[in-house]
Amino acid sequence: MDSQLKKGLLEFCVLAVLNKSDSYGYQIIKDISTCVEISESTLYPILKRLEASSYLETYSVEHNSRLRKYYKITNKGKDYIKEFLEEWQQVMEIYYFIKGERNYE
Amino acid sequence: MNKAEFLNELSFCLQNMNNSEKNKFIIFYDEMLSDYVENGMTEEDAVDKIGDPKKIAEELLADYGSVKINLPFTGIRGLNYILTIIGFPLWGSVLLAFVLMVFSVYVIIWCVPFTTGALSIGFFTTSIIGIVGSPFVMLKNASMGIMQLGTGIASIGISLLLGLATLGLSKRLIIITKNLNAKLAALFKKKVIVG
Amino acid sequence: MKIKNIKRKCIILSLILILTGVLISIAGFGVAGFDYNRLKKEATHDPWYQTIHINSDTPWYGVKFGNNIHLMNIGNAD
Repeated sequence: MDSQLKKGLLEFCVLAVLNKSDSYGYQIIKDISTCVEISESTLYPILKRLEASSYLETYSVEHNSRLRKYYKITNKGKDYIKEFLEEWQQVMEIYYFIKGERNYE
Repeated sequence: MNKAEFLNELSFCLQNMNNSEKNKFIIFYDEMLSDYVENGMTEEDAVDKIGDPKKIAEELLADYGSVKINLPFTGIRGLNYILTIIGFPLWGSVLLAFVLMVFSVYVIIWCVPFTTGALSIGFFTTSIIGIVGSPFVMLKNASMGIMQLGTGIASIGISLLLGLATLGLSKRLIIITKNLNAKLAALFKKKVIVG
Repeated sequence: MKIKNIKRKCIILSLILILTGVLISIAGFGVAGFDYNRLKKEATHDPWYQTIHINSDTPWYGVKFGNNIHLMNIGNAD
């Protein structure tokens, strides 16, 4: 897949994971990996960008005598996912049109 | 490589980066490695999975288009602005050098249509004077006068050609200048977001 | 089409002007009997409205106001 496209899509994957529940780095990678391959070095800039655009917030929780950073989606982030999904509805229509499976009279 | 070695190597490769950014990054990987270990992996395997610290550092630096100038950025916005202003002599001079360089490039490329334009005007005025003055010259010196008339007419032709060339060149250069400006603006926007 | 036509016309016009001018100049030179030296002798006055000058054996084309103000100067290394 085109790497720019993949990076863009992964942003939404991260938000989708956080939408279900707050999470932390290791867990996010594990969850997304069930669907698509993502590396730690790819995840970091994505998290950074999302935080800079206020789509997610961070907080720390103590775990086994070390601090673990948690990521939490914001309302702005939730709207962002919604927008993406709505737009992709359109993309799917076009996909089927190109594939030739829909009947347009 | 174990966790400590990995993190040290990473820290070393990122030494040119400003500290707060670097630390956030290192902490991220420290956490990640600890989580892998907590979930059953050995440190060595976890480090292998994550990859080569040098490459990771390279990617990070490239992604951020990091400028080698170490701008101290704190987490507090107001303080950032003050520090930026205080640090002006440092990044200001680099910025100034860059701006001057760009400016000189513009001057050089615009010299060409400027020259043809100036020549065009020069030829044109000379030809007008020449044509108008030729009968007077003819009174004293017939052949010179006729030649003056001839060169005057030819000069109008030359000035017209030069004028066309100037217009054509200017149009093209305006497009090139606009493109260059857009590219430079994009370059700066990238750096500003990074800071 | 409109724009291309104007440009073409201008280029052709300028070439015609140049050609005409050169021919007239050659004719003028002919009146002087194609004698460069005679031309040089007779061209010593150099009034401001004269555009062809010959100074110390160097011909140059341009306009001279007064002693050092040149409107244009092609050919004189002075």
